[in-house]
Amino acid sequence: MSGFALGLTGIGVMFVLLFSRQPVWLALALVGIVGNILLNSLNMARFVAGTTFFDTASNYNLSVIPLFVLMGEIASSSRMSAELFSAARVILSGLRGGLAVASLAASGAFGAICGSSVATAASMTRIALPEMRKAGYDDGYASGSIAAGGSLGILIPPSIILVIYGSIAEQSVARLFAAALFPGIVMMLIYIAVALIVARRSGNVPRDAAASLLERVLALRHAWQFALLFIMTIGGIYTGVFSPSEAASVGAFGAIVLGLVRRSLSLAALVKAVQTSVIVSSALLMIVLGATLFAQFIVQTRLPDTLLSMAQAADLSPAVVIGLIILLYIVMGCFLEGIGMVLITVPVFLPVVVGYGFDPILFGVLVAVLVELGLITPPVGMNLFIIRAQVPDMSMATLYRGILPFLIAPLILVALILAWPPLTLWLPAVLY
Amino acid sequence: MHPDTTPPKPSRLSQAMLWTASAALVLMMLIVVGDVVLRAAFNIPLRGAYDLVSILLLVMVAFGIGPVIVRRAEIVIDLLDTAVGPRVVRGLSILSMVLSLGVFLFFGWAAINPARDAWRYGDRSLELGVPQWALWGLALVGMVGILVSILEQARGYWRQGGAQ
Repeated sequence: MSGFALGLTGIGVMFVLLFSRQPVWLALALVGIVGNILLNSLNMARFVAGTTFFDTASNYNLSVIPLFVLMGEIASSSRMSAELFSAARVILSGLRGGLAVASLAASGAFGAICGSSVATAASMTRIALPEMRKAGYDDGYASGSIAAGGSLGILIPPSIILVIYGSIAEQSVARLFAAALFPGIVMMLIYIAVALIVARRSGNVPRDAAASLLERVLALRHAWQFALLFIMTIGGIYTGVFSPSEAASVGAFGAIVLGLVRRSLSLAALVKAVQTSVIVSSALLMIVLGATLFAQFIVQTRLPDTLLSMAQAADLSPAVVIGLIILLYIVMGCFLEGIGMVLITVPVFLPVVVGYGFDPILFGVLVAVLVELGLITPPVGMNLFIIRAQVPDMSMATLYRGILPFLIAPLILVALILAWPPLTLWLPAVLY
Repeated sequence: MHPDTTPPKPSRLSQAMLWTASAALVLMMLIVVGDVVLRAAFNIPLRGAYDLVSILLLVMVAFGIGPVIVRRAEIVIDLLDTAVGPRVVRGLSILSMVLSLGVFLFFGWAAINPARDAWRYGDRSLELGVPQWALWGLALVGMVGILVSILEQARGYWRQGGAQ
């Protein structure tokens, strides 16, 4: 069997394993190890497996993952998201659909210190949904805005997806964080525009009482700890004061100190947050381990090179190639979990898109946007499930109906990123 | 209730592994913060911070994977669950346990040669000069814990199966 055929078979087997309910890390690692044995030898596969486990588990650069997860867990456990929502609610009052807009703005801000869409969506469901229901908002509209806002957590830096992309694509995490900032803000603004348009059209979304200018300015003080953490971490990375690992450590430590000093974080909650961070990050690092083995196998089959040659021989234009890849991501996003999807696809697609002249940093941001879309796309939209788990009396049909108008936003952003690369590449070029 | 949704109560070993991994994570954070503060305030970087963070990450991962398996916190695509019965789901979960056991046995077997080479050639870490064989030893101890965790999970399935 040729390397190309073996590579394709490996990918096929991996999908069979994934849809047979095997853990993502296991499907990737198993295909990587068995593929390596078939392609080379048992001894070679043994050598690669042993060193990959050790090198991945002791890779300093990957320490950024548990540290940012810890920062997000602490921020979730210490009322920061509630205070952000309170501030956004007053600042954006007076609009039709103001609570939905406030939830989107607070999600965007919380995403800037959290990095996890799951944590963002879960927090906002607890905080914003009861308020919207009390104000008479339609369930579908309310849940759609929360699910959409939750997805901002993985695009606005710090983003765990971008850290993982950086490790597998060998790209600078700091540059990726810089590249994702403006697309993240634009995404939030498009979501807000969608929320306002839907509110105006539906007619049954109430308008909140408008706060005075003084009240709006005073509301900003509720967000001071968010501003402090954001400036310390992301500001530190952008200005070159901190490496991503240092920023994550300082951010996590700062969140703990803020929580303890303000008495919004108990010792028990701190212990729980640390243990949850260990579980979440170990599960993520298991996938990185599996993906590294899988990527080594795929590279050796020369599958990406062969795909690139085939696309070039077929005279496919860069627009068609990136269009096909985007379509594939959208379809996969309907069924697959985000991080797994990134780690499965990047080793195959990255050499092809780079071969076609696309910037790997731009591709990383594009992938993060498509993963974000996957989080809210039915039938398997993780954020929708998170809302459903916390609000069992809301039907999946209501959730699916509510999210539909928001699906347009990531597609608009994808078009903007491709049509105007400086949106993504300008800031990293200026900073680094 | 679905057979796969209620993980068994974690054993003492699993709890000890989780506490070890948690301590490693907290220490990792404190060391980096200490390094940043010392560098900013006194222009004296903490010697060996890079090595220590790498070692602590190794401890966190090697001792954190076992609790992930016991708590069934691995990321799984469970689209099939609504289409097939609990028996099929349970069968597939047992298959994943067997495959996980096989893969981690392979990792353990694969780690023996590099660990032996590190001992034979006296490899050391870059900054602190920690013997590499000791770090391989830590990884191997963690792998033993992972294997025990998988067996613990198997026992949980066995009991759940018996209870049905």
